Amino acid sequence: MFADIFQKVIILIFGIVFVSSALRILFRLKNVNRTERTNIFKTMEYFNAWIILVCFISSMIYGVFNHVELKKSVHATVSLNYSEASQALNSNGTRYNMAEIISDEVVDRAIKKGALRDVTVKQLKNCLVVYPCVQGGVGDESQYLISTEFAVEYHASKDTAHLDSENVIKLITSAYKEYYIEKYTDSFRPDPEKPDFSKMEYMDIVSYFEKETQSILNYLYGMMSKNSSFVTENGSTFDSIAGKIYQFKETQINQNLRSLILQNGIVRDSGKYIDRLSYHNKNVDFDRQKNDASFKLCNDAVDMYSEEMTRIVLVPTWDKSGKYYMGRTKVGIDELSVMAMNFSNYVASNEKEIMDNELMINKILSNDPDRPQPLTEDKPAAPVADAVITADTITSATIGTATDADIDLTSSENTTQILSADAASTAKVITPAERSEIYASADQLIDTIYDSIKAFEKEAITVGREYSRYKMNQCIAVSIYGVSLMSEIKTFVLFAAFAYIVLMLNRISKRFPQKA
Amino acid sequence: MDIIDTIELEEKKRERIKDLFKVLATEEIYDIWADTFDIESIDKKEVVISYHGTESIKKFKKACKSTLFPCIYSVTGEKKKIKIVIKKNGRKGLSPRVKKNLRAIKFFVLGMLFVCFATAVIIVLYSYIINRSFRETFYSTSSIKVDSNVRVIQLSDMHGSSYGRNNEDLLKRIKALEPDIIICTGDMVDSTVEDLDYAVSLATELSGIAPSYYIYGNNEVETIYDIPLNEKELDEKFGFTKNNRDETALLMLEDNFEEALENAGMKVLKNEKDTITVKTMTVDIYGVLTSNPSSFWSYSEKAFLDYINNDPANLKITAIHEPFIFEEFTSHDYWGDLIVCGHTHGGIMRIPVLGPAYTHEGGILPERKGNFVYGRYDAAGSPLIVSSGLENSTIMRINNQPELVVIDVNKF
Repeated sequence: MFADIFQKVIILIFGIVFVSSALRILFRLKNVNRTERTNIFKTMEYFNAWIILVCFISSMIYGVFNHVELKKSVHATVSLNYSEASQALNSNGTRYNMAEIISDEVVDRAIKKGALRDVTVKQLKNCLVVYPCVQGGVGDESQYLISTEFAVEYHASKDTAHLDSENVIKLITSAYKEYYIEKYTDSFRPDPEKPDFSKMEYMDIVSYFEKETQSILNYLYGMMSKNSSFVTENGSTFDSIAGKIYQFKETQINQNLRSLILQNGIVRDSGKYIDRLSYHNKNVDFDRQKNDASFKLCNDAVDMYSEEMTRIVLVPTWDKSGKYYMGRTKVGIDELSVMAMNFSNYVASNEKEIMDNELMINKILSNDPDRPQPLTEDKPAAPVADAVITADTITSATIGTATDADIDLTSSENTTQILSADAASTAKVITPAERSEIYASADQLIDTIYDSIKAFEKEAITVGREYSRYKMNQCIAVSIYGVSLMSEIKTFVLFAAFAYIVLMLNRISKRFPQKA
Repeated sequence: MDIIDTIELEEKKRERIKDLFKVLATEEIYDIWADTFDIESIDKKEVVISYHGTESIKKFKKACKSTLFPCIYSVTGEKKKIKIVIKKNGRKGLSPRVKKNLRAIKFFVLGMLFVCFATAVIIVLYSYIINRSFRETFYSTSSIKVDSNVRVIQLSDMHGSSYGRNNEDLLKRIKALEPDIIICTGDMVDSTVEDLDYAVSLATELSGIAPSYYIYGNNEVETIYDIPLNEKELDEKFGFTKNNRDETALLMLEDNFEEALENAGMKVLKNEKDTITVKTMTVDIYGVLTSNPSSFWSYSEKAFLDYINNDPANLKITAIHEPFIFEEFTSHDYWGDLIVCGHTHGGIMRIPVLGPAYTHEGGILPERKGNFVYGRYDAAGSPLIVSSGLENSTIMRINNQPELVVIDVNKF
């Protein structure tokens, strides 16, 4: 702030001298004739050591203050290097917004990153300006331009004068880059901490593994949807790695580990776990009943559907891309059939869950000699759906009647058989030695699976990074422009010239006589 | 009228003529001719002027015709005869105009010298004051080996300097900047035993903030090993030849300083690496002890190549005191993902446009000779950061404020 004031004071002093000299000449002009006037200028001593020295000193002082003032302003260019930038999109396909460069979140992040003192987000934000480096027009299509370069300018204010301008702009651009990477780029950050499996129930470990592998798969599927043909340096593709992980999930987690646990009723705290499963079963059964009722309702509606209605009722429906439209071909009965099929699937899923839990409970009880043995004969089997509608029953795009809908009703016979078989297998009671052996093998399998998942995570991360490097092309590049020495020299020379003119004018003005 | 009155009158007339000449003559004519003549005598019949200028008498007569002569006629009251005599034994040499110009130039040069001196004094005083504090230099670099930001803080060449009582100010800022890794790249102390206590005290504080690493500089090496760690000296000390060198021999030497630092929680890296986990990422930090180009490969090749070639997915940070190996072995293709070093003190003085002024090894304007002196360079495609250090007590640094280096390594 002081530099600015001093700069102005210096210019003011020279300005006053300039104006007073000009006025003096103007007032005394009438006192001299043309020849004398010419003579004054001709005989003037233009190299005067004092004047040049004063010019030099004043220019130096002005230059120093100018330097201090210039140091308060810095600008940076943020260049977007990824391919979507030319369409004004972020790398994840959402619309690019340059205002985010100086958004509250980014400025706040910059303040935290630089541990900047005595400044608020608002104060710092007021010093920042962002604009596209290339500005288009709206006149015609040739003027439509999408800038992939944005200039960020920082001009220190009174509140931010204590901050180093170059550091501020570095922090802002770095914070923006960090923000952008977190928000818009592909990221897969698995949990680095190994959970304490000894405190987790075995079935929960299975769920945990499924979740972990699914998250890797989701990441790979996401990458695949962007570029399915990308091949890494070692020849892998997203698809090949995803296939490997899926295979692993199915065989190692679902078949080996899950079946080992289910078949042997492996559990840490049997009492607690049985209570948990029973409670869970109750909840699932509520859902099952609800879904079953909905399924029946849909079926009743299909039965009641009048043939005439198919000609006049349009059904809001959606196309393959998920857009809604009023279906002229799809009719109400189709919609009801779809709904019935969905509810049927829900019911089947609920029942499978109940069944698994029941099986687990039975296994646990049969392995625990202190607990009463499960009464598989008396215990009613979990109710199953009364009907399941297969996908090919839906006759979309055809005008049919309620009776055309081919509803495949099945009984609960199959599932009851499964339960009975499982219950029979529980008859064999496992000895403590066998039990500890089974537990040890389960623990070993868990460790092996965990290590494999971590290896898959690393592989997924490596291939993702390789793809990012290929696609993002460094994502965002930042160039910072500080004070240019040439511009400072230019200012120095210009001010020196101005000072020289002013001082010479003052000297000339004094040679004009006061009286004729 | 007595003779005295006559002389006084003549003197007055002389002065009057000269005054009139000053008024009537243009500035240019006056400047050229005023000092070239004297009025010798004014009597009833004639006026005698003695001319002692360097220009020809013709030019003098021509110049005076319209200026000096009317003045004489005006003062004496009638058109007297004017006799001009050339005074040969009078003042000779440069013309008054040249003399005047020379005077002006002399004055200007002296004035400029004074201005330069005053400026130099101001700059030195300003530097002295500004060097009492340190600035923070932020660098941003990228590596595909990281998923989120990893912040490295580098301290270098402190030479026992202090910022606040017991480095309170420095430690406060480091803490506020929340580093993931702190690296001290040597010469934190001068080669005295008392200084080592200073380093241990600093290490205790730093290790409480983040995982901290210490790499010896030439001052520590001098204190601990008593020899410079170049190949010749080391071979002599251990009795090695080219064929029987043992890289570990140097590391086996007694080192109480290392023990003290490690007890303080700071890991000393002597041609070795340490692996840590930062957020979700694994980071290898390698510290070079034998930073002299002659002994680098002969005394640390195995350890360095192990660090470089194993675990390529880990982020690799190479810390070294002197940057000379990067200048020397330009054909080496990979030095790590980030390299930090110091030693050069930023060239002591930095001149605009020309850059760092001097280093012990590179001489005057070392950057012009391709030396790595200050800032960010490229070492086989990896960023190499050379810190100007935090020393503020023994040398005068100009335009080279002590710095705390903050490096952010991010994904892109």
